[in-house]
Amino acid sequence: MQHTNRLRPFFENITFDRDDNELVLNFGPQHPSAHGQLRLMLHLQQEQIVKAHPDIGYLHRGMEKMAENMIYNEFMPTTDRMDYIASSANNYGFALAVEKLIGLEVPRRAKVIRMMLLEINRLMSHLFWLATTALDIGAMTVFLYAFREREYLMDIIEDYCGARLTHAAIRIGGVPLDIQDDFLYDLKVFLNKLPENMKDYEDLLDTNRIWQMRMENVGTIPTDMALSWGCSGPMLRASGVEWDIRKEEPYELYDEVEFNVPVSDKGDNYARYKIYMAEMRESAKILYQCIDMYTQTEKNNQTELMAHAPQYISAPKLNIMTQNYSLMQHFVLVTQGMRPPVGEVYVPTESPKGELGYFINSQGGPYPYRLKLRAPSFWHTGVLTDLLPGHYIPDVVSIIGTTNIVFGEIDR
Amino acid sequence: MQTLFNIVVFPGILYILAWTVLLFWFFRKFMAALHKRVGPSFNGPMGTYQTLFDLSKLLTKESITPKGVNPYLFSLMPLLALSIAILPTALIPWTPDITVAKSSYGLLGLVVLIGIEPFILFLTGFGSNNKYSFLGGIRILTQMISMETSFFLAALSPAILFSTLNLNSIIQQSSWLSFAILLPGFVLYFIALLGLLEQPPFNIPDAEQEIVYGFYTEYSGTNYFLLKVSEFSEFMAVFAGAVTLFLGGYKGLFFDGFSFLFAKMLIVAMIMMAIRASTPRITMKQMLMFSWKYLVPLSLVNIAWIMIAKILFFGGM
Repeated sequence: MQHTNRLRPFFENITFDRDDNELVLNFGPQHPSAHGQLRLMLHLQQEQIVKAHPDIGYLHRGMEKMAENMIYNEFMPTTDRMDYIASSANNYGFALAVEKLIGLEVPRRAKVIRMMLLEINRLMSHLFWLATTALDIGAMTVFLYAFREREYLMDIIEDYCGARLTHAAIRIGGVPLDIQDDFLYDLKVFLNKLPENMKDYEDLLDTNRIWQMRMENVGTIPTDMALSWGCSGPMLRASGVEWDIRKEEPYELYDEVEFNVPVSDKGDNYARYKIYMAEMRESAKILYQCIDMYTQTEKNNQTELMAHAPQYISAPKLNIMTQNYSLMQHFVLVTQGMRPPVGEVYVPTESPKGELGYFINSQGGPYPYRLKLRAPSFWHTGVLTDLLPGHYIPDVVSIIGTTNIVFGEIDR
Repeated sequence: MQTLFNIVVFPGILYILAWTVLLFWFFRKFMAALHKRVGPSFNGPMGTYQTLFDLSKLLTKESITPKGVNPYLFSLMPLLALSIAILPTALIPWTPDITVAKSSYGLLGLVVLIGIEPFILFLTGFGSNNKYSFLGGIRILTQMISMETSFFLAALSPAILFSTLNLNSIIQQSSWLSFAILLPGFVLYFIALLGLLEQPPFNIPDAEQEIVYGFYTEYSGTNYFLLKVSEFSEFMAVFAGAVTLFLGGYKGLFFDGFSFLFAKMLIVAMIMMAIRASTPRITMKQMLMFSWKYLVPLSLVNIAWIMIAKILFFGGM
């Protein structure tokens, strides 16, 4: 039998002796639009927010600590669970950091496949963003339309790596598999249909008076605020700073492809929405070029998928099965793990949400001595403290929506 | 005997239950078509049994009463809401013969009964001892006050045009000409109706993403079922009111009858669904601005237009 009166009261049931008119609302962690486990303490004056205090930690799984007890390859599937909307971006950030630490050169075909995965993930993430934000503001049709396209992309990824959400499709030193035969065809079908689909969304939203009313001049982040809170990615670009790590410090083959970095100087929700839409178009552009680059590697017969570095990376499967030394080396790498040289490295990448950086300190052992993730969403949650006061409850929802926070990577 | 039939079968309790089940299913299917998905399809032909199962499930589930509320008042509110939502059906002329409560002031009764329904819902919000319900209660009160002004003004236009409050005679006097004259009034009535029924873009009081479920938040099981049924009977009252006042009620193309009234009500429901599928939600502030800045003045202009039209086409006041 349950003694309800013995339960300790929840925060929101405590009555405070207050002589002001404020209502303290515990917005989350279980709230339909709290995007995961965000707990937002709102001090309300009627419906206007006086003070906002984001509280995190409800999804904490101690991943950074877990990394200290895992060999480098073991940690790869764990990175999936950080930003689970675009897990390849996390895989990639980690792989790139370790590769920088070791000093590996990844074969060209692997680079192209990685870029394709990254951009597909960007599209998936942005579609998901569009869907959930539209749902937060009440446009349910857009939600279902955008999920339809996202489903198609997830099917493509599933065909490649077998998983839909947690891909683990990238390895340190390359990619484990070549793309399957109809991957490029499926991708092309999707990309050719994308402008039409995006027109669907934009017809429903772009000039919709209500959408404009909800988005324009709401949640405006001035440039200095964005910079001082460490915003990155679309949040920073919407506030008038042209900063894209793919352009500033090109990794992979991003210096070979042509794409624009959409910027806006408005800084409000609508500007962010426009930037996400523009970035989806740019991603499609990059993917078209990646398809050409892949066919080029086929012509040049560059079939290598993993870097050649016997000390760190296992040999191809065929060699392991046929050559004694490769088998021994594989055995050592699997049981003991690779031992990167002593040193530390911080590698930023442009994830769909912003600057995703991995810091690794290696003491020469098989486990990282310290691993730290710089997750963009974490900083974007912080902005809410300064951004929300003065807004109303419906704006809270749209602002949380456009900041595009994912709690997997905030709490890790 | 006739009265008993009216209360139990048509247009009484059974009719309202059947309407709730069918309209719920119709909403789902129609929304599914707009969303390009399937909708309920497993149970029964085209998933028709699905809502029946859903509602019977709700009816049999435990209804939880939160701590710190008066349990009797808490459970009384849904019953009260349902009974008030059912009452307008008595005033509406469903067929040329069936009107349960024939009255010369039918329009007045209809409008008042529709108008006090949100009061009950606001009390459910205030009585739930929950901050989200409380906010929902505030919102529903604000929305009701701003939307009902134009709702009443729009409902007044047929009364002025036909110089009667009797719903039956409003239907009998209606014609294509009066339909054309009342069209602006119908549009205003329809917009205000969206506000009263908390339908998108005015679904502010139970905005799921903002205040969880507004005044519904603490209700579950049977109480929730009662509130849902009262919501759908409110739909019926308001749709039937719209059809009676502006679209000629049971008048048909070749013969008069209930089927025409029903078809017209479904058309109104379909327009509502299409608006629901294509619009996001507006905020409280914007709703207030819209209501007092545009809707109320336009309703007054509409009344003036009705008077002018009456002088022009119907020979003076």
